[in-house]
Amino acid sequence: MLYVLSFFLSWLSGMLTILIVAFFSYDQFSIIDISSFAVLTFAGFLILFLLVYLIVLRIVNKKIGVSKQFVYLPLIFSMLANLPVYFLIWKNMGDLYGNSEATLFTLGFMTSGLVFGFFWAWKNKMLSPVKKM
Amino acid sequence: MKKLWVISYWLFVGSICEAHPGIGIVKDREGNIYYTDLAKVWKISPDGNKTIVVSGVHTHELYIDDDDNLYGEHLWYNGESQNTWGHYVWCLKNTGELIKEINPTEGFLSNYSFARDSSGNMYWVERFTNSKIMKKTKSGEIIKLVEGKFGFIGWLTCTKNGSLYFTENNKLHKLYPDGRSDSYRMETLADNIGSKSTDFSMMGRNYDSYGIWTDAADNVYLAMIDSKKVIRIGADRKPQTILTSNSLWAVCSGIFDNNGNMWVLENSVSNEVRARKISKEDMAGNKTLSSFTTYPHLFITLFTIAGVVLLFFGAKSVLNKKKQKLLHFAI
Repeated sequence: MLYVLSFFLSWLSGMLTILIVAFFSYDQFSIIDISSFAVLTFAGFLILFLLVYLIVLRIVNKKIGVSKQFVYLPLIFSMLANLPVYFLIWKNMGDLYGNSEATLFTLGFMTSGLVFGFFWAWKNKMLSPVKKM
Repeated sequence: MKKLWVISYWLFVGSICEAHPGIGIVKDREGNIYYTDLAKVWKISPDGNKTIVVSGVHTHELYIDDDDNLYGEHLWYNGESQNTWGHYVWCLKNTGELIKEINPTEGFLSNYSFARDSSGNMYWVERFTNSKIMKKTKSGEIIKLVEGKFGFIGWLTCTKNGSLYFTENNKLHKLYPDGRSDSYRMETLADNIGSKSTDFSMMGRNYDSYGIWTDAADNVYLAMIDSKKVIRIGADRKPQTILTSNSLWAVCSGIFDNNGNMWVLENSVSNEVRARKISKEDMAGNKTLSSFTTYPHLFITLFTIAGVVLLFFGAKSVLNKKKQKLLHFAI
């Protein structure tokens, strides 16, 4: 349940960032633009979540203490775990979309990573004192 | 699920590859703008009212003569069993009457074009190993203007005085009467216009220049369909980006209205078509402005905020329950 919730919360936060930044970047942002961004970020984030995030989460949960997780988890997920996506965004820039769309995709995935990291740090912190009892 | 999304993605990319947008956008003397969405022809009146004037026609190009008679074609495929194409040419008279200028015929349009000058001469490209640019005079005489081993030649544009503009790979050429009878001169206006694109992009060929149009000062405008921008080539012959199209919309063609505003014909990745007005004030400031509404954007953003808040409280509630459960077991 928490995995599903964290997935949707992270993806939706990324999408929200794209929508908000688009207010300042574009003069028009149609339904087609929104649905295209939504489909592509959802598909991309789903693959990333299944192939990278879950594995990285398993590793960092073991290696990093709860007290440090609020700093390291968001950093790891928004930077390191997202590297394949950043690479693909950069590689396809100019061919499949322009610079401004690439920036939006990057910001969206960065936010998703940040939220995912914070979410699991928060979850671990909330449940950790109980474990000590 | 993952497979489904991968398939969806490639279907989405596939739809981009197969797109062959139209370039038909013209104006009449009263300032009405006409454009094709490949299924219908729309008219936008100066007050912004939008109506369909011809429906059920698949036309990529439009032409309007000095008497405001509008011309286009209808092209169709007869199915895989026959594997043939058919076409007819229609004309919407200034009286509102719709007639067939060329009756339904098998194959593609030949020795006929919508790129015409004010005298009614037609111009077209015959693309082979040696490509030719042809002219058909109003009397029906067909003349070869130029022949050569060109790269890929894109859409041909003709101005009222008979100057022709066309792109060949990443070059923009101008072909114009040199003053002597039936003699034309070709000049390369720019040789660095195109941006390279992949097979997955809109055009699926190496260079992405598409529709061409000019303004009153003879500046040439090029729609760069894959890089989603419009470039202007002025007297200094340096390509200058003047407009960037919005994300998944690409500018295919354009025209200047009677007030100096630029109208761009845009095609989306899902093959929707729209005409967007860029005012001359915005053009002067090199901005990428438009007056399209952003209400759907606003509502979806608000819904997304609500979704994030709900998910956050949902997660908090799940975590609290888990904590209670763990506390219960701990005690």
